[in-house]
Amino acid sequence: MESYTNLSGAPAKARKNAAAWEQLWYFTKGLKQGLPIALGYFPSALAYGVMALAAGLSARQTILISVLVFSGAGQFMAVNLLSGGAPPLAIITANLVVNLRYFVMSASFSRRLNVNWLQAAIIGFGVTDETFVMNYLADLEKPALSGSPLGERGTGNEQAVYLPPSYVLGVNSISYAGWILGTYAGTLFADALPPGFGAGMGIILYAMFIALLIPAAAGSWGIGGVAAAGGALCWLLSQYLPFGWAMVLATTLAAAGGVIIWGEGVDGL
Amino acid sequence: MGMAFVTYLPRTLPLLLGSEVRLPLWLERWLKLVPYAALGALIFPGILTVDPNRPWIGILGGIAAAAAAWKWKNFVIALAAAFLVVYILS
Repeated sequence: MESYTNLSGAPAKARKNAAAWEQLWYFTKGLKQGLPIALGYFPSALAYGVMALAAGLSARQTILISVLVFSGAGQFMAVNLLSGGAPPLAIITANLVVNLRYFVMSASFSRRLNVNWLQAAIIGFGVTDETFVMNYLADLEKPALSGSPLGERGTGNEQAVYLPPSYVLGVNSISYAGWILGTYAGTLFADALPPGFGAGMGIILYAMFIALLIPAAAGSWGIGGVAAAGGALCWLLSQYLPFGWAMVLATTLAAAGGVIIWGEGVDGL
Repeated sequence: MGMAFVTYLPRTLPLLLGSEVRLPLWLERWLKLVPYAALGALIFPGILTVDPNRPWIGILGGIAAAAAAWKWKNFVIALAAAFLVVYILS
């Protein structure tokens, strides 16, 4: 990227070229940083594929659902309900409930994006628990270019730093690929899975959440406290409520508690 | 197909509306804390289900990930540490 540093007098075409390179750089970075998500999705999707076949769906239906829906919790629940003989309307309603948490996440995520409706429509499809957190907490060094898409804007008296859409697209794309490939593998190898395969791979997603949380929590009691409260509340609520509701409520309450207690400014935000 | 719709809608609607709207300060602050609260809620009850019959395996894996992330500040090492611990134990 060094050769693009000084473009102040460059002709328009070269500048356009450089902007395209920059987009590509961010997209590639997104692909790389999203790789752990894809690795974590693969076994989960594989398990979904196996369960869906067992519930009586065809391989084509199973994969089509992964392509169209792209939501782990929602798909597992749908397959569970389906094998219990639930009607389509019940499955759709249950999915809406489980997916309400995306509403909260996307509302938060929108603070870090400055995109047009088409970009929003494409990026929105790829919002999952994992891609949301990874994107939101992305720590991007700017490539050595002027006019970076990481623009800054005042919101109230705080500053928001925007994410480049191509980075987000990179993270989402590779995660989506991992999810679909995993589903495909699940439909292929449904009968020939090594036992105990799941647990080792299953920890990957959680290890990723932890690795995302630790640096932020280490720098701020507020962030650590909010995360701990979120976990404790979610565990408590999930004893009484389905996971989707428990998570929406826990996230809402823990973040609200954080605002009330450390409202004047949580360190590191 | 209804499922695809009810998944897509809540994901995208706030993104379509959100970036234009100016919000009161307390709401901005709340939205900034949401990811951390969500991380906590995603980690905690879920990690017990890594091996549903032996929840402590998930916890040990999580501790390994946290320790590695703390010490080396490196993503890949943290994932590898957690994977190894869980793989060896199960």
